[in-house]
Amino acid sequence: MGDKKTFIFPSLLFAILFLLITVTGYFQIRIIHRNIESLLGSEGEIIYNHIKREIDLNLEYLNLLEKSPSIITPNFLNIMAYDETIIDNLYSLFRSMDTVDPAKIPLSNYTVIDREGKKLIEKGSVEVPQAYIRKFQSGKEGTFLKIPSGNDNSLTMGIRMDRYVVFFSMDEKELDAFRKKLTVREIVEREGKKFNIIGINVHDAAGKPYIHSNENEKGAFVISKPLDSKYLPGFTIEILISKKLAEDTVKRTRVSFILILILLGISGSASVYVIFLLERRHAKRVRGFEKELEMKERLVSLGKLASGMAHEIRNPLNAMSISIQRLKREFAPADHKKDEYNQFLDITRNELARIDRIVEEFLLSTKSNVPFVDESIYNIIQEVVIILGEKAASKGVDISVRVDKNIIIPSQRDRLKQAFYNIILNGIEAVEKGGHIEVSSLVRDGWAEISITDTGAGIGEEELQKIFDYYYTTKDKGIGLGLPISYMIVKDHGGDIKAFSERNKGTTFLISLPVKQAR
Amino acid sequence: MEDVKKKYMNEWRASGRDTAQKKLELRELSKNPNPNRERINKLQDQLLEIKASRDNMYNQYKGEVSKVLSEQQRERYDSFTNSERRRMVHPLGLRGHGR
Repeated sequence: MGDKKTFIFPSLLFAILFLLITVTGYFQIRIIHRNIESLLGSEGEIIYNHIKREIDLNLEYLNLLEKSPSIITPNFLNIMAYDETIIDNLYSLFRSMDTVDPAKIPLSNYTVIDREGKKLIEKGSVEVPQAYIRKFQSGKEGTFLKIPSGNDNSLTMGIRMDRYVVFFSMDEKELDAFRKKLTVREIVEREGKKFNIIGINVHDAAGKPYIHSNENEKGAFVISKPLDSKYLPGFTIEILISKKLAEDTVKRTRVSFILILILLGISGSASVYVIFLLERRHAKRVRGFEKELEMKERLVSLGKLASGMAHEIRNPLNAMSISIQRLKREFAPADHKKDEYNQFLDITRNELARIDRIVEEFLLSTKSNVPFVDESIYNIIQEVVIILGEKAASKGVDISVRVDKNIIIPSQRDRLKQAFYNIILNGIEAVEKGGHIEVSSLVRDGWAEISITDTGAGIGEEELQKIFDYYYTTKDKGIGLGLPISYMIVKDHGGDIKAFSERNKGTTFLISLPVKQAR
Repeated sequence: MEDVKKKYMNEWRASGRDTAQKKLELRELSKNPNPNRERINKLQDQLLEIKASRDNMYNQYKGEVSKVLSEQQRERYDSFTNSERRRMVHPLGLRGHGR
């Protein structure tokens, strides 16, 4: 449950933060998008006003073409030359057609005749002098042109093609419409290039395309407004501005934001995971402390019990031991039961010695108020090895000591000796005949690390967790006090014990103790 | 000033008609350029001359009109033609947002 809370609360907090950042970012991108569109709108408005003014001004010039403005300007002269362009365009149109296609001819009055003078197509009425027709037929004349002059403001033109001759005529009204359209087209093309926009489309009052410089391509920002010109009433204009840069900006902002979100997501998840791990480690340490505290409390209780009972137990034990000695010495039967009698007395005496040892261990483990004195760790271990030497030798176990003689630690000598005694004894009991126990030392960062390694059968992972628990033992004759007492003694010295084990390879106890000095 | 304008307008109109005729003839000849090379070159020269003549005529017109105009009117005329020229080349100096 604790683990779940540890995970859920930071995750929830992070999720809310992530959501807030996402929502804020989303609205920020929308604002950027709207601002850019507003900027494009302003630009379109400026272009619209400029083009509208150009169209009005140029159509005003066009209107003055016959009577001419009060003062001539270069632009007016330019517009005067539009008739040349109209002639040129129509010439190109007819030349580009293999056969005359009426759908492609934007004229009201034209006729197409073959070389024999037979009319192939006729639209409206064109009056062509017969003399000109004959000249065409004879091949003497390639083109015929009558341009507006004096009171006659019409334009008539004849073009000889390979197989036929085209004649067309434009009255003043039609010519004026051509000039107007040409004027608007010139402006649209010129201004479109100058402003570097996608295009400008003009629609007539019926909504039909009048000038179509570009399709309304995808991604274009379109401003559509009435042209509001007295020369082109009801016409509308469409200004197509590229949104490429604007969309690039928004796209880049969006990509950057998504990357930030991904980064935030990864770092947030990692942080939550780290918090979870730290919290779990902390909980584990707390559990360790609690366990330690529990052990201490139990030890204190046991200590009190032991110290209270020790004297009470030892006195009768002594009396019993003396009595057994007397029984063995003075009251031994002379018959065949003597050996059996002595055997029972030995068992009783050994068990009494065992009880005495238990009492001694209890007493030692609880004497935490014994003063600390500086002592060589080597001397303490060496003494223990000498005491246990005989037992090890009897079992065929070899003990090697490779401990630095210069390591001095503040210690409660007898208690610490008891701690090492229990651990080394545990090792001797764990190994088979011919086994080996190695005691070595290392000084690191102000700590002496004493390692006691045996070549026994090793301890299982589950058992390893319990070896410092009171009364936990895997031995037939064990009482489960040796290792917990060692643990408490080492803890009372400000140190720590850790056990590492591998099945069929052995076990290592690593005892860390604060060093007084290393000479 | 009206007389000056009338004189030049007629000349400009005449040169316009002349140009249209010559351009049309040039295009006809360009269909088969090799035998007509001499005539094509001549027409091209003539079109260039007409263009130069038009420019000269405008300068002459401007000179003659300037003599008739007062100082203030002349300044306004120059200012108008200059702004017209600038407008044709640089439209309002837009920076081109969105591209």
